[in-house]
Amino acid sequence: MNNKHLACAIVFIAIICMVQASLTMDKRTLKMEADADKAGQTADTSSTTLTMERSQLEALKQSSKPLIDYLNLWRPYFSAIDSSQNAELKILLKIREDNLLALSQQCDVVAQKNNRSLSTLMRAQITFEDNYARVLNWIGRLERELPTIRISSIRVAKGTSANDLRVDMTLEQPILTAQ
Amino acid sequence: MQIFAKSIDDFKTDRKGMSPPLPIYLRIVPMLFYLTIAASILLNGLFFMRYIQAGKNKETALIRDTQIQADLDGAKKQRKDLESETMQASDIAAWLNASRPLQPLVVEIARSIEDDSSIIELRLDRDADNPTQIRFSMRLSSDSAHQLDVTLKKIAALRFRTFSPQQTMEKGTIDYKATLIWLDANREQAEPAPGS
Repeated sequence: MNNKHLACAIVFIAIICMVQASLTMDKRTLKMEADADKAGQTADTSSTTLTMERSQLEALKQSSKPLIDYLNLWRPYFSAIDSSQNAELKILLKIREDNLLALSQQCDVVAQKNNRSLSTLMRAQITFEDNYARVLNWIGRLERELPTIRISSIRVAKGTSANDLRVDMTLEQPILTAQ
Repeated sequence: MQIFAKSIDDFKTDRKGMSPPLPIYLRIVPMLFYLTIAASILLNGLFFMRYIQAGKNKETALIRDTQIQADLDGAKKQRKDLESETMQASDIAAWLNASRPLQPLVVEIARSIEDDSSIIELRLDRDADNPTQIRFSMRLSSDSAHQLDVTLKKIAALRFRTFSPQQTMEKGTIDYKATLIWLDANREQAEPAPGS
């Protein structure tokens, strides 16, 4: 092998290197194009998901509108009673306002299992004895003025005098859990 | 001037170690070299432009995807909030549906009592598991079942239906127990009373 052969081999190696560099560049370009296509497809998929999500949201807004309106109608009444002390005070004030003869009253905070939004209740057990008309009117006023209250139990029996009624009531006032 | 051939030959002296010329097929190598340089410049230029363009496309797609993901997260959060609000509304509706006032029922029962009868005890208890159902029990002092019929008619007029009634009558006392279910034909929802 003489010098000319050696020079030829070096030039040939240079040719191979240039071809190899071009192939590498082509490979990188193809990879970048594939990545770009993949990113475009991901964006398209996300776009489709977003369209579906928005349509579901719109459908949910439409379907839940009556319930949300109903919630907005009642929310101020539930929000007005934000603690057990507040609930207890309101009930006791109602008794005092009408000057009913309360024989006993007991208030406890209890948990409610089957209602997640109204998971806390203030339960008041009240026994009072008073005039028939006054007692029944008081119960009516209580249910009207505290519209979120529930009479969970009521026992009515004769009182000590002819026109008196003895009433044992259990009242439940929900305390709206902050969402 | 005359130059002698011998003298010229003297100028071109013999070179020692001179290689023999390359074979004819290897003369293509330099040509191939120049062609490769030109092709490499051209192709790599094209590849580079495609590479830059693909990079820009990728970046644009990634930015678009990020924006869409942000919108998607926003929409999901909005849906979650709405579901939560709907659940709260359902809970409140369920509570209110099971909190219909009992006073009108008590008053109507009391008013239904005729002169020859009286209520010894009246109990209304909402069922713990299903508060829309009311366990009703009443002890009447009456000689006949007529009074009970009148009272039950009044209860029915308030759109309460009685289930599983049990009745015992003994020495002028009538014990009556039943479960009351409010018949809400229109399924109308409770509304706060004016002025409450």
